[in-house]
Order: sequence, then C-alpha cells, then structure tokens
Amino acid sequence: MIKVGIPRALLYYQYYPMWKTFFEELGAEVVVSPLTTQAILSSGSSRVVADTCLPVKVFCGHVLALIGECDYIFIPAICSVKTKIYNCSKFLGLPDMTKAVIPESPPIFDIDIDINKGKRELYRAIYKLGRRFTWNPFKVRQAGIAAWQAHLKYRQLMSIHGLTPPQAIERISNKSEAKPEIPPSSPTQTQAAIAVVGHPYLLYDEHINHRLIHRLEKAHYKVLMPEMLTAEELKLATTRLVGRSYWTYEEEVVGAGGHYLESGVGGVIGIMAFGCGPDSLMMDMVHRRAARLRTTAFMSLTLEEHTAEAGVVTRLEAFLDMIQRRKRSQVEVCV
Amino acid sequence: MEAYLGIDVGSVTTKFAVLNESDELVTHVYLPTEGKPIDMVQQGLKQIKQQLPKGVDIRGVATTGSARYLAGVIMGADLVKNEITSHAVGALRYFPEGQTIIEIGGQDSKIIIIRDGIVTDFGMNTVCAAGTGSFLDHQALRLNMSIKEFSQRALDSTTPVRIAGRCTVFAESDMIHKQQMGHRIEDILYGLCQALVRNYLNNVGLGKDIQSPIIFQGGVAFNQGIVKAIQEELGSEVIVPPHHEVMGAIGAALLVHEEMAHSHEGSKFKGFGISEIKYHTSSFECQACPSLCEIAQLSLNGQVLARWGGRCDLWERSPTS
Amino acid sequence: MRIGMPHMGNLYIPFKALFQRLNIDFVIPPLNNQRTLSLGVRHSPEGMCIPFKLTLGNLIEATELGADTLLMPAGSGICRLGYYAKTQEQILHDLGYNIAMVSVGVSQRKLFGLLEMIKRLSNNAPWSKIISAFRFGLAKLNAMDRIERAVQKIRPVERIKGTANKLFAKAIKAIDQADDYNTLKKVQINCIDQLNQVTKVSKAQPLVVGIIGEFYVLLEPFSNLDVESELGKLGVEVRRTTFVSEWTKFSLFLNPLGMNEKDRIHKAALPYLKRDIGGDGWESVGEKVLHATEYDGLIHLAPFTCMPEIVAQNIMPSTKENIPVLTILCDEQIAKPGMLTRLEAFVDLLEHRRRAQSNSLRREHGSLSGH
Repeated sequence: MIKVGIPRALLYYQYYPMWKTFFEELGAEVVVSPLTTQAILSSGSSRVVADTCLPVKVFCGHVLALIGECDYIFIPAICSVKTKIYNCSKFLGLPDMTKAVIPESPPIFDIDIDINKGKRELYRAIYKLGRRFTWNPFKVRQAGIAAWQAHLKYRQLMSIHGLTPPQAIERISNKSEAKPEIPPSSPTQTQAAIAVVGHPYLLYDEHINHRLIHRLEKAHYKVLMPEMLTAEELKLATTRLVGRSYWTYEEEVVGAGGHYLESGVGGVIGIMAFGCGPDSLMMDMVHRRAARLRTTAFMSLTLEEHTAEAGVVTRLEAFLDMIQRRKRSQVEVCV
Repeated sequence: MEAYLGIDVGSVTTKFAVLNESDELVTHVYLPTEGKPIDMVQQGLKQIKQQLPKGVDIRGVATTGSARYLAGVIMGADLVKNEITSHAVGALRYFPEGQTIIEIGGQDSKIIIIRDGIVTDFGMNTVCAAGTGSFLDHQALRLNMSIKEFSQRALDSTTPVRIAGRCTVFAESDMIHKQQMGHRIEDILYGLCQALVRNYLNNVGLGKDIQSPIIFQGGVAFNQGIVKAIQEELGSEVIVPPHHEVMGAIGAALLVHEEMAHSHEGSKFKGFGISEIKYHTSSFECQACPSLCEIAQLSLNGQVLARWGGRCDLWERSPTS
Repeated sequence: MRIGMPHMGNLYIPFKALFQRLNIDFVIPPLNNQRTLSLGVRHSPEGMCIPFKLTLGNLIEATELGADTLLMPAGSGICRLGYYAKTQEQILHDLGYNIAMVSVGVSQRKLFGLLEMIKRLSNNAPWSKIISAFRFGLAKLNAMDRIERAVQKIRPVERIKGTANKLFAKAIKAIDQADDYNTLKKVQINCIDQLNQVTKVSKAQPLVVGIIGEFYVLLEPFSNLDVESELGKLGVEVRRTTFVSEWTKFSLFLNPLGMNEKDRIHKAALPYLKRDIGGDGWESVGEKVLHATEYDGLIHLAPFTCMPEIVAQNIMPSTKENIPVLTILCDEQIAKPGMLTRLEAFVDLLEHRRRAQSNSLRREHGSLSGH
C-alpha cells in the first residue's frame, strides 16, 4: 500500500479530512506528522533563510519528520479557492520551495488548485493526482466526491457544533457516531468572552502559541474563534472592514477580528506569525478598527521562533488585567 | 506601622519598595540581578529589614517582573502580578492624569496607553533588544564609559550623528564607522540616544496613540540624553517621576494593598527570616513526550517548592501553594 | 483635484510630461530622501517592505503639498502590493488627511488600466489627445532608459569616477525640460556622444554582474543605496533586464499579441519553480538560471520581508546552474558601509573566481595539447 505523508502544518488544519478521505478512497495509507515540538521547529528553521515566516519553518520541520515514514508527501500549491482572490507567495511556491530546501524529501505529490483557471482545470488537476493511484477515472471521481463530502462534514462540525479543528478531526477519525453532542464548555465560566483570531495553523498549534487558548480557558474565559462564525458573518465583517477580500485566508483574520470587535466581546486577541506578510497588513486593519471603535480591548500577539513563553504569559496577563480593571472602573462609575 | 512590600525582579535589576498604610514610600532598594534572582531577593530583603523602622508589620507582599513567580514562591507572595499592570498602577499613583507611560528597562521595554486612568492599550518589545537599555549599556561598555558619563556627555552634542541599524550589532558597526570618520564622541553618544528612541518608537511604540502627559520611567530614565531625545522626537514634554526606577515595585505594593483590603485572610509572607534560608535550584529534561521540556525546580531541604518550564500541566504547581 | 503619486526612480518625468499636456493639476513630492523614509517607517505597520514605506512617505509628502487624489498601483495576485493602496488610504485617513486613493490596476490590464484612469483624471479628454500626450511621455521614458544603459557601460571604465553619473544627471534634467521630440532627440544624442568621449581606463575586461530581483528596489536607487553606481566605482559592469520602458513596450504592443518579455525567464525557472508566486520571485529564479553562464556574478536585490523574494531566496541555491549570488536585503536599517564591505568582498570573490577559471582553462588547454 502506498503511504502518503501529510505534514501537520499550514493548510492541514483547513483541509485534512478532505485530503485523507481522497487518498484513502484511492487505497493509500495516510500518515500525519506528529504534533509540533521544539525539535521539529528547529529542524525546519535550519533549512530556510532566516527571514522565512514562522509557519513555513514549522511546515519544513514537519516534512523532515515524515522522512522515512511515507513513500510520498502531499504538498498542494493552493493558489486560489475563490475567483480573483489569491494566496500568498509562500503557499504558491510551497512544493517547489520544499523540494529545494529538503532535497532528501520523499517525492512530492503536488497539485495546482487555482479556481481562476476554471472548474475544468481544477477537475483535471484532481484527476492527474488520482491517476497516480489508479487508472480508473471513475474511481478518482468517487474519491473526489467522498473527499468533498468529508470536507463539508468537517466544516459543519466546526461551524454548527463549535468544535475546534483538532477536535473535529479527532471526531471524524474516531468514526464513533455514538455521541454527537460536544462536551459543553466548562461550566465555571465566570469571566467575559475573549475572541482569538488568526490562521488555524497558529491558533491550534499549541507549541508555537504556548497553549494560549488553554491558558484563557484555565482563567475561566470563554474563548471564541474564527471557526465558530458562519461564512456569511465572516464575509460581511470583511466587507465592512476592507471591502473585497484580497487574500485567500483573509476572513479568518480581518472578518473574524472585525466581527468580534463589533459584537461586544470582552476582548479580541489577534495572533500573527512573525515574518508573515499578509498578517502584518491584515492585523493592522483590525488594529485600526479597534482603535477607531474604542469599545473593545484589542491586543495583537506576534508569535516567533524564539518567543519565550514568559513573553506570551506576561502579555496575556496584562491584557486580562486591562479588561478587568476597565470593567471594574466602569462599574464604579455607574455606581 | 502597617506596610506593604512590592518586589520587582527584572532580568537586569531587582527592585524593592515598602509603602505605608497611606501608600507613601517608606523605603526602597535597587540592586543588580546579576543572573541570581534568588540571592538578590534574599539580599534585598535583608537591606529592607535594616532600613525599616522597628515595629513594621508587613500586611501584604506582591511580586512582579520576569521572575515574579520564582520570587513569589520564595516570599510567600499574596499577589503575583505582571510588570505592565504594576508599572501602570505605580505611575498613576503619582500622576493620575498621565496618558502615556514609556518604560525602558534593561532587556525589555514597554509602552502603556492610559485614558481616564485606565489602561487601554500596551505594547512590549517583540523580538530584539533594540529599543531597550542593554543597547546603551553595550555601547557605553564599548566606549569604556559609565552610563552617568554617557548621559552627561550626550547632552553636549551639537550636531548629532545619525546611527543606522536596528539591531545592536549593526548599530555598533555603524557607530564604529562614524567614530573612524572622526565624529565628536558627544555627537555619537547623542546619536545613539536618538537611535534608541527611534527604535523604541518604531518598534514598541508602533501604532500606539501617544498623547501627553507622557511619563517616562525605568532605569534608562536616569539618562538625560534619552529624556532629551524622546522630547525632541515626540515634540512634547516628558515627566520623569521620582523613584521611577522602582515604579514597578511601588505598583506591586499598591496592588497588594488593594487586594488585601478586599481579602479576609492575613498575609502569606514568610517573614524576613527567609533571607537566611538556603534554597536549591536544579533542572531536568522531561521525558514524558517528544517536546523534551526543560523543567526548572526550586527546592528547600529536599522538598520541591515549585517547578516551571513545562509546556503542559504535568509539572506545574501553583507557586504559592 | 490635485494628483499626487509615489516615486520610482525617474518615472515622475514621463508622468509630468503626460499630466502637463493633459492639463491635469498635479504635485511632485520631493525625491526620496531621509525624511520620506522616516515618515514612511513611522506610519507603516511592522514588517512592511521598503517599497511600502517609501511610497507611503511620498504620499504623505505629496499630501503636504496639497495633493488630494493619490495614485497607487494595485490589482490582485501580485504579492502584498495589491493591498497597499487600501492600507495606505487608511493610514492617511487616520493621520487626518482627507484624500481619495485611486488604485491603478496594472497587474492584469497592465497599461490599459492606466490609460483608462488617465482618461478619467483628464476630465474625459479625447483619446487622440491622451494618446499623443502618452506618446510624448513614453518618448521621455525611452530616452532616459537608453541613456541609462549607456551609463551602465561607462561607469566601470571611466577614468574619473562619477563622470558618467554627472552626465546622466544633466541629461535627466534636460529631458525633463524638453518640450518637443526634437529637443528630446538632441539631448539623447548629445549625452550618448559625451558618454562615449569620456576618458577610459585601459582595463581589459571588466567583471560583469547582473542585477536581478524585485522591480521597485531595482529601479529606485535610493532604496538600494545606489548599488549600481557603487559597483561602477569598483570597476564592475552592471547588466539589468528590468527597465520600465521595456515593460511598457511589451505591455502595450507585444503582450496583446501573446508575447511576453518574461517567457524566456519563466521557462528557465520551470525546473525549480513551476508557477508565478506573485511579485518577481519567479523572475529572480529564472534570471539566475538564465544568466548563470553569461555573467561573472549576480546581485539579487530584495526588499527585506518581501514574500516572493524569500521564496526565491530559498530556491535559488538549489539550482544546477551555478553562479555566485549576493543577496542584498533593502531596508531602512541597512547602513552603507556594511553594504560596501559586502560588495567589495563579492567583487574580490568574482575576480579570484575568474582568475581561477582562466588558469584551469589554460591548464586544461595545456594538458590537451600535451596529448
């Protein structure tokens, strides 16, 4: 059986169930790299020039971790999933860049996803990928349909049931349909809700964000994430803030940030990666909106390879203090 | 006399402040940390005890700064607070109308934006030490000059030299270059002050709504060259409060006073006797998962008091329990 | 309505000619200087590239001179540049400037987007008038680029360093002042004549270095600390494929015919990078492959934090085609002495390499003849 490796980084959090289903339907075995560790991050970062963004360094580390574990590595080049909205250079060049910096990597399966070239081009790309496993185009078609269905289910688990991507992935992989209810978030929540916005590969990689979400939950805050908003809400908020989207993954930053700032949550934390070009512009837009609204506390947190845990903790504590002291003073004023 | 003790253990210096019941500063101590936070906490405590009048009753202890958890365990702190909040609370005690606090410390620097006495925004230096005091220390050392002399001579500059480079190393090579070109040392010194302020404003202060009154505190506020450079760059008067170097400790003491007023329990302070106790620190690599976290532990007489450094809760213990 | 736009090299000259002939009210902000950069740096988000910072500085300075309608290139699928107009507009509004931002779609529609915008700005002037004004602007652009190519040849061999640059500056001024095609032609011929008469050092063959990388930093000497002149001083001849006139020519006449000036470059890049990644990343990789045997070395100019160029930088070392490359990251933090040190070391390396190659060639030749 062919083993296809999928790095647990970048778009893994967006599309893993879809990819996994596709390859498994075609009779392949799917191997995922382990959770990010310092060793994975360091090994990845040693391969690329220093100015490369953190998520790509993490990605390279995951590719390295898959060496010897699989026959092929799947690295799609996702140019565009909506008309005239493009992805950043790092995503476009990902397969080629990986090949260049990790020459010993198993052969790379790449696929061009570019909706601007038309649906026909997209289907052709999928067939081209599928033909590496089977000569039968119907089987590829079936795998494609199953994959899309898995993706829809995945999105649903997140937007309707409020699961985080790792929770949803686990739910799908366990195949246990037994309990469709999600455990209600801890009942001891006494504090306000804090929204955390940013790309899933930053929000759900606990190694690089120093367990930020866990820390918030431990301090009894209800944590809101971009995945909990509907596509419609994200789109509307993005349009209000910047007009038409420019980047493929703009809504989870600008849309979610804008939405939560306007919806009166306790505070909004924007998570961005050091060296990420789009983030620096998009988070600036959210920051400007926060400064103009002046109603909701906002903090942007830049994650970096050498970010010390203490730095994250101190900022988080200060941010929560700020919200609480602000609330207390408002109460006092009212009294 | 009832009193409240605040301790700010930073990466470069350790600060102590004792406030009385009416929040007036009774005494303070300022020591270099020298990479030995436990020793310095003990030593400072000894000095504080000597300086305090007889019959002072410590009713609350708070720790702040980057080693706040460690210091909290040693002291038996009633409150462990981050340094941003502490600095804001301290500064506002002296200047309630302040709108911006600039704090430049040894290895990190902060900006705190305040409106109507409430923190509305803050920033901290991100990845490098460019906008911090260590930048100046480094250059002063290179020029074989005390920070005091640095401060005075920088003020004599007539035509400051523009020093390029955000990072300390690049700035140093540019400074050497300017020296070799024969610029006056005073002009280079003030050029360094301007470079630090520029880096601070472009890094920590980026996108922040800086309004007067501006309060400038932290160890670097002793340097008149920096004060002048900030005023020039911002085009606005800057207030350096008294005791600015221990403001974090003062803020922590104020916070614990506030905290204890609402609390029904007495202080957990372990007493001045702890300055004599021999603490033991050690570390080990956790093998529980591939993360291989470096766990540091503090123990006393073979009994572990606290552990830090894990990426999960496995070794975590509440520092005060 | 008063137009303001950012600088890129001497591009303001053709635009000035164009606007003047169409009676469009406009201001030219001061040429890039330390203040421009400081203004841009102060008001830019963290992690922005030098083109963003400098153009923002230009726009602020244009606004100070009374501009209320600002032009910025935009479009989709082209690195962060497509987001600049949006962000800069917000920044200017937050600074309290009441301006309108006009995005010029140059990515897909190329020059036609520009022409349509000019039509609007000129209060719907007749196309004939627009085209005639445009042609004159284009003539100035072509003249400048022709002279610049000649200057690139003279800089490394002139006896008195700086002569070519002086003639170049004089010519630029004359081109700016020229009012008709005749004068323009005369200026061009004169300048090239004078350049050819410059006393030269008798050096056999100067090193040839290709300059590749990101469009803006290639064409804005202020952003690259005038690397071409500095190489000239070191006796190195500089070659560069990127010229605005070239881009214009293809965009207007040859692209519509299905010809692309970059096809050759893209084809060379294919084994290493299969697709356009925005900006000029694809071109950087392609040019390295293409020029590996043509030149002695390459200088790769990239703005610090530029996304496509970081991808290119990661890919370039893996190509089979081997040639020394010095990457210079352009940023406000870069200090000239540091850059000069690196340039000098690079030129030394190239000289040693050339000598070693000719020696081994001679040896090879010797051993062959020995047989």
